[in-house]
Amino acid sequence: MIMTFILISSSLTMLIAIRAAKVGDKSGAFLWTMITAAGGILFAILHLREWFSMFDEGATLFHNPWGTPLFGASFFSITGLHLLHVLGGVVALIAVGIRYKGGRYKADDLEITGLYWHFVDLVWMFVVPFVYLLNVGH
Amino acid sequence: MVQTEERVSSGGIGRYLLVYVGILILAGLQFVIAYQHIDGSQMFARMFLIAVAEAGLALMFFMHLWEEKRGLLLFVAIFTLFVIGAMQYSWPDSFRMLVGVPTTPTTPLPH
Repeated sequence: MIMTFILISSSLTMLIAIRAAKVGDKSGAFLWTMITAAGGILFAILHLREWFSMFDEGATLFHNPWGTPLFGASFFSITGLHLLHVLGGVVALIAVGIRYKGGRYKADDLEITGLYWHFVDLVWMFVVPFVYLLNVGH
Repeated sequence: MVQTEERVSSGGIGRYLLVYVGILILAGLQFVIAYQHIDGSQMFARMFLIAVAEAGLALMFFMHLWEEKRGLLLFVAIFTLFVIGAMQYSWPDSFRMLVGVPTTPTTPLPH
């Protein structure tokens, strides 16, 4: 729930950054882009924390102490690929944000990075119900 | 990517906030559904519908698809339906993982 909140909120901060960039507020756009990247880093930290607690309970890519081993493979593959995209997005946000502030990139470049970030958020909207929530009540 | 400065100034941050709150409410609703004692397929259908609504809001307003030309909107909608339809072709095959390799009377079971 907290991770979902962080990721959706980071989409909002990205929108604020793009809006600032479109009106020529470079420092504002840079600041909000970095806040977005910080949201991504926080999401990744919480995700890894969750992973390590699962490792402690014996769940790995090929082993599931609670049932079918296929769960471990599915869970770590899906969430791992999503996490990789988040981390890639964080690197892109920082790189594009710095270059935008330095004058090498334009507002459109920041907007393209924003589209990527929103898409990562969009994928998470499907990962949460189908990977986490579908069996939580049973 | 046809956003202009005029358009930025015409639409305030208020609309983004409204969509943001809407997505948060929908995400919260998924958690409520997760704790309902309903049939698995019913739960899947409800969660899928909510996820599509969330994604639709993000696509339309966060990714500005709503402000693009209607032709592009139509293309994305049709292409999305095509991709989902194409996925239906392969998904049923994945159910073989539940029962293993299908056998016929002429092929012996693997030992």
